Amino acid sequence: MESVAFYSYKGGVGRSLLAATTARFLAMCGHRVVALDLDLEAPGLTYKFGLPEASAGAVDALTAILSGGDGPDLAKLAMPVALPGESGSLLVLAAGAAPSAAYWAQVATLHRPAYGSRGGLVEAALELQARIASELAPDYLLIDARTGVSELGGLATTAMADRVALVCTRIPESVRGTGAVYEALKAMPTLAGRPRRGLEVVVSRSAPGQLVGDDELKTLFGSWFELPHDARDGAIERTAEDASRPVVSDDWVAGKITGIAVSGVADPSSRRRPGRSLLAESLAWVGQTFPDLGARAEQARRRLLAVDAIVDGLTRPVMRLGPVLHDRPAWDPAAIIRNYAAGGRVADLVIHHPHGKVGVVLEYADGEDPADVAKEWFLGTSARVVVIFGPRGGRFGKGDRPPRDFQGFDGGDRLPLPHDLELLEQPADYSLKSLLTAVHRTRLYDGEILSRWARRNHLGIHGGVAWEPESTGLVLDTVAGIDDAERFAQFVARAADPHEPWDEWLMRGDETMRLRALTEIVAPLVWRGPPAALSRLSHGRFGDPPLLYGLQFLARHMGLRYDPDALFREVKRRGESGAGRWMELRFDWQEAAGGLPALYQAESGKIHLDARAIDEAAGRIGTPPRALGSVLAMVQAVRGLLHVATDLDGQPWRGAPRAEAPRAVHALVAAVVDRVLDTLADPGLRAAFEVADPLHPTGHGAWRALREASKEALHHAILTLRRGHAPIMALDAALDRC
Amino acid sequence: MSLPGLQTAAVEALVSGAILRAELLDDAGLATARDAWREVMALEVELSRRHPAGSVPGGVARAGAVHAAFAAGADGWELADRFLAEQDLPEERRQAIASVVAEHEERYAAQFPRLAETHSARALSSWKHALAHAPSALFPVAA
Repeated sequence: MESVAFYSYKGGVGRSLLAATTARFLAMCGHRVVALDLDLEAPGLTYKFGLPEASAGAVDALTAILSGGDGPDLAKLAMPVALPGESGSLLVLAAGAAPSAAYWAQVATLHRPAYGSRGGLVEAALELQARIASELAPDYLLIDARTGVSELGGLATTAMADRVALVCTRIPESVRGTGAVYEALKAMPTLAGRPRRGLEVVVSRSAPGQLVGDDELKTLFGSWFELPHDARDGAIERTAEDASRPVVSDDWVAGKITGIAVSGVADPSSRRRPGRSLLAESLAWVGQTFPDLGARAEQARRRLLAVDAIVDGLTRPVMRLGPVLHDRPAWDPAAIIRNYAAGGRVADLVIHHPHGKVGVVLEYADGEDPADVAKEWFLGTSARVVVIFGPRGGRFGKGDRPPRDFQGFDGGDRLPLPHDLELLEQPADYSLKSLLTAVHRTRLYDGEILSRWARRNHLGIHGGVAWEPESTGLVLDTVAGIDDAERFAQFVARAADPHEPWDEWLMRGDETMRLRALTEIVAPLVWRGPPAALSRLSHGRFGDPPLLYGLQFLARHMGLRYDPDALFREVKRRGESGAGRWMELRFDWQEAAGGLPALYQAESGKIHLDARAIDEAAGRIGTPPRALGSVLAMVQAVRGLLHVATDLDGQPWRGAPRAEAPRAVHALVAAVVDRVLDTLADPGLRAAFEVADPLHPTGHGAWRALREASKEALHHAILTLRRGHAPIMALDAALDRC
Repeated sequence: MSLPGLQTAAVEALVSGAILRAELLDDAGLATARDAWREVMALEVELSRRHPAGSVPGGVARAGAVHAAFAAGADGWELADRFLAEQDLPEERRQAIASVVAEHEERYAAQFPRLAETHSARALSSWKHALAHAPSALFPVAA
């Protein structure tokens, strides 16, 4: 039996908690452990184990020994502590029936040897220790010693202990008193037959700005172990991890867990920062102090950190992306239970949702098939999501087998959050298809949907390197089904948000590539929305308005360049001030002039769309109003771009396109829209466009004749008409001949 | 305790009274008997200074001092060692002192059976003495 005394010069430094943590961990590693409360004047060790108040304890045993009697049966006196799984054993020998008057009276008599006693407290304590070794046969006896300079404190640290842990904080009186005790213990004679005691110094409750610095500690102790100030999880009730099971790998703790706990800047003073858990650091001390347990202690520590990080990820209410804080629905910490046992298994975490019912189970598992583990939980509880983390992880939904779209828990996936259980039919299913089912009701999945959209559509609509037509088609079809203009605009605006991770070109500082990339990402979405959303898309909360990318998309099809910020950037590059960012073309959802469903006003740079007129026109020609509105918006946008965009060599338009402009203008505008619709490949928009000829001025319908023209010819025609009236008339004549 | 001002007869009268008192308190089972025996020890030690080891009163005082020391919970071995080292101490007194020591060890072993398996009363007493007198002594561990 090895005896370890936990001593502190001052009270309230975390000595008893460290003793209790050590006892529990040693027992969970398979050892037989007895924890003895010898802080007779101020006992409290039983509280650290969640035990009820004792009716008898060490004081009774010591009194009996001093009176010459046999004393109580230690096996009945000691209180067992329940441990999870297959473990060793842990018995707690309380001080006695504290707090009570009878108890204090009994303690007082201990220092006055009974009549006929052939020894005093020294002999009695050593006899008790020998009885513990003989009757309870523990591998370890952990003694919670009396504080201060006292006979009991001296007994525990000199006569009884093979090893002493001296716990102090960084306040001067604690450090210097501990220093005196440390020096005294080093020089004190050992009891015959006992090895030289080991002395471990633990500085507890460390926090920045405390009074005693490292230099003084080094002078006094040489080396010491530091425990953090965080008492958030200091209660021993939270330590019941089964250390006999292996824990998370280095990869998991080092990288993947922190990735799951949401990106952002951790507040250095936050007590919730993973890695500063008092419990986890206590286990690090145990591993260092009991080297044969070092590996398991380290495993348990890392697992605790992983669980802490997961809890942080589950309960953090905001996440930061660049300068913006996004609200993030998170779990109420009260809904999260640690170490939940059911059906022979113990989950690291369980989330109650709805209240009182198990909704989510998270368990570390290694060496078992994650699917089998998940199945056990589904059978035994009402869980709808089971997350297995460890070397082989997974997120499982309820069912006989994992969902078809199962994704491995590779650190890139999110933890299940409250809205997953409320909004997704299969809360464990984070496939694109599953998330898109909720897009009409919530913006919470917008980021994930757009991230996958951007990846699969990057640098090339319908044909980019990473293009996945099935996935991108799914996104486009779903987006096309969002009728709520506000919701639609919200979704598209997120796509254009420069702080989103797909705007990698922003970070690289390549404006040209950035414009091109964002155009590919945003433009297909812009032109599929309800027309009423276009006015909202004319404004950008951060960075450029989403509409800008839709217009640039059109301009490219015209062989033109649309960059309203060009002057702004040039002025900025030259280091001047004065030019502001502005949007030349914008949409306005209101009554257009003359009752027309859509109109471009050159003087204001606005494109007006009239909802009532669009509805009436759509009914007349037999096409959905939404598709017609989008098509009409495109036509007017192209007309506007003819006016405000520049040629590739910087040549602006020389005239103002009007409703009474030559037929060639209308034809070319329609031809451009025709090409755009080919690219977008949206059948609804295509159908609306083809039946909308009667709504446009004469000449519009000539787009059919221009279908066979090459892209270069179309661009050339556009450039030509921008140069003046004569070329326009020539083109008109050419169209007449078609 | 040193009583230079008292005549030996007075000290002997005192020790007789102290022994009577200590035995009466012993019989009554009172814890204060230990203090009474400490007084007896001090008086017997004084008498052992005044009477040579080979004399009857000297021998009686020496055996009595060791007995009183153990009864008082004090370090009787130190006294026993000192007296047994005296060449003139008669054999019967040596045996008496040895018998007191043995009785004390027996009663110690009876009261602390498991402790006695690893640490004799004498070894423990030596350790406590060393602890109390160490230059770095800090904790008030009762000797």
